[in-house]
Amino acid sequence: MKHEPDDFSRQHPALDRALRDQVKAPKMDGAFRQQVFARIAAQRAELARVAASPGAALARLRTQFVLQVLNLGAIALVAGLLLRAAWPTLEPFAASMSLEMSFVGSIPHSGLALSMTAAAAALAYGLHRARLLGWVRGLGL
Amino acid sequence: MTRDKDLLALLERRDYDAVLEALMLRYGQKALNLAYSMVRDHSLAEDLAQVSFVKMWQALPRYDGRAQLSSLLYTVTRNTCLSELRKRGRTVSLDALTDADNDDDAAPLSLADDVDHAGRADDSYDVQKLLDGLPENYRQVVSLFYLEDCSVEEVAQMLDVPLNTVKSLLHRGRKRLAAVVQPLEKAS
Repeated sequence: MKHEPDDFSRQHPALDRALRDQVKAPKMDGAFRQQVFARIAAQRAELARVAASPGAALARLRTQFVLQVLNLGAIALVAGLLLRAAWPTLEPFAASMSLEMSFVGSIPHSGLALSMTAAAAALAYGLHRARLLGWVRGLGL
Repeated sequence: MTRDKDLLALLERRDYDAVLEALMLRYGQKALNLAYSMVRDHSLAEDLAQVSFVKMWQALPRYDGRAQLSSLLYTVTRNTCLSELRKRGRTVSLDALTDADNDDDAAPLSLADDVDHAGRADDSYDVQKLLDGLPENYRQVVSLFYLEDCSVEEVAQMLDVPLNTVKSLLHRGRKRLAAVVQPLEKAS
């Protein structure tokens, strides 16, 4: 017991004593620990049941997949728009990297094309990083 | 962190059951105290503390070692209790504590009319009744202070609030309690 008398306990000893004696939480015991592990065992059983049900697992994977794709798509779109906005600045660099002007000129919106290429690359990289390509194969998509 | 250093080896071995067992032995009572100080019901506190440990078990595989395990447990326990209290239409906001900085001499406890019932019986007080009259934030700090062997530092860590805030709340909470029982003390 670390309790050291302070002003309050000196001025109101009876109240202080009553607070110390009567404020009691439940006690942690073996039964508590057993109940926690029983809850965990129930969760494990539920997880095993879900894992054994291919339909449920597939539905869960599909949802996660769609969310991840939407997420990455949004990022790719923003990246594309940024590239497009920055194209006037980037164009000289693209030219100096011996990008065929005839090729660039053949596309009406070369900035947009480059942006979309970069966005597609970003998306593929994102899918690869998120290991979604494996999911795609696994889901038969 | 030092205290839980031995658990890191268990975590590396992914022996989450052993980590949880150790956490329960070290911090189980504290988690129960924290839950009880918030919900003030023995069986509900037990239930919520158990739920908190299950949540800890679920979170252990993602534990990155940056925070102390005890702090993580206290956060999980607090959030579990707050969520339950919200469901029951009760709220506890420690943020509101700082807003109460100027109400040191605020209105006396609402249980003033019940003083007789809260007052001495066999030379003691009905603490439950007295605490019922305190605002929730004061009540939580006062309860946890006495549950944690009167350690202000422990209370601050468990509630994740500054030490001075705990001291201030404790002072005001006990002052309010004293104001209620003072007539009884004089009479006796």
